[in-house]
Amino acid sequence: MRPTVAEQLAGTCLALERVVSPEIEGTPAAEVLRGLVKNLRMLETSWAAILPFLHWDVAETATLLGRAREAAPAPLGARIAEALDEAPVDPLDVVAVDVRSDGLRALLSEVVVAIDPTSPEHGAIAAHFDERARRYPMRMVPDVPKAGG
Amino acid sequence: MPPSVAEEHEPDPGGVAAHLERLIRERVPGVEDLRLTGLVRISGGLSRENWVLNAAWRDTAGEHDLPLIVRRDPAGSLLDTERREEFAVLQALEPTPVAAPRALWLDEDGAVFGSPSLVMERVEGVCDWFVLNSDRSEPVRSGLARAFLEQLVWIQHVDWRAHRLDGALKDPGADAAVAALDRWEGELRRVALEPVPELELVLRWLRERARRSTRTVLVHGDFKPGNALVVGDRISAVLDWETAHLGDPLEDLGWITNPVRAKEHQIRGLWEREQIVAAYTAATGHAVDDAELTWWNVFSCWKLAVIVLTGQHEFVAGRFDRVHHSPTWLIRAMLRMIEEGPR
Repeated sequence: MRPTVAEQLAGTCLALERVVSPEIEGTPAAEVLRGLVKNLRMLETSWAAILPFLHWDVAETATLLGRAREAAPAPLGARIAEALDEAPVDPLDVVAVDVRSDGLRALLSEVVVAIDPTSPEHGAIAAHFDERARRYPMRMVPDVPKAGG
Repeated sequence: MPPSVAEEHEPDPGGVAAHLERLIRERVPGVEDLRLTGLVRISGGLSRENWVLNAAWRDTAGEHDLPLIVRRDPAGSLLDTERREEFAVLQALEPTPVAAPRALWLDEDGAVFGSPSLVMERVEGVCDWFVLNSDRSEPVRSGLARAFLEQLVWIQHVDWRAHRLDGALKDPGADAAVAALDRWEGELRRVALEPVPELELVLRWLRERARRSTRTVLVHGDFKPGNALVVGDRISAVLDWETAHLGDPLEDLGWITNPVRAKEHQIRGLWEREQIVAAYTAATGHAVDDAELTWWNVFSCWKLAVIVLTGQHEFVAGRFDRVHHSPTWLIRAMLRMIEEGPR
């Protein structure tokens, strides 16, 4: 599939930088454009990592929920069991995997405030959060406004 | 009298100059020969449209020639704040040693400018987020670091009761920490586009350890070199008072000793947490409990994460033009501080 997604994003950035940017240099719009191009450049390299990341996160989250189910209050434990029993989604459908991820992370939001914070299950969840933050594929530090009066 | 708005502006599609002329004529009795020149929209504020210009006029008090800045709320912003509160704070600061710009007029409901706006006197100076780690000499940077802390101490020294600030700002009393959590949890519930269990875990940790305040002070809420102007080796203005509120004295101190933003607030080996706390204690006479300060460090990161989510929310809604992603760097920092505990 050419141009690839990465090639399309790269070409878009080039056009914005070479054609549009010089026309608006020195205006507040130029600062906005720089931020948008920086984000497109980030997507150019990270978009392909999103689906694998989601699969990894969904699998890890499901494991953590399974471990925490017994420690959670009964009604929450029942909803966790129900969620873990759901039929798997199409693994190539990124939107469906993302929705699945949201569902499991919503349950995890309830678990982390319900179970003993000193328990091994809670510790494992915190460790996953750290690892997830480390692996998160879309990351970009916005530019700080230039020094000025 | 026909409008006398001057011509020396860049394009002004928002009609800022005309709006300002109307505001001045409404608020200043007997204005004559009003001239507005040099209108330019500037970048810098991430949550507000900023316009600079000069205003000259004559009235019964004499001739005036003022450099002004107009701050107008955009359709979308990172922060949903009250202009009235900011205006009250700036007015209260005027007779104090705090280097705050003089607030002149408030268009509270946007009746003149189209959205809530504030007009202030423009202060000379340069804004540099990383001035403490810039190429200035070490004595200058060290002096500026101490000057920033001095400003913070002056802010906390403001007699907010005498200035009747409790009429504009809510006094949380001893429950300042819980009030801060409530305020930002409300924002989290309003803006989160997806579940963020990391922030729930940290929120629980914060709620279980929130302490009662021993005193209530004026809190800037976003105290940093990026919200200040510097001239040479002195601070000419502390800006962006939109998140100012009454709260715990360690809130702003927790913001500047937050390890996540050390490059903005600290100088390695010279002006770090230990030195900042020692200088603060020497200046105020108040000892700082390390565990409590760590609580406010974690809160600073958590609040900043919520602000990032607000940016996402507004971007997706088409009201903000900057993209924000998951605040992963804040999540990792918070988890680390929670695990390590007080230093």
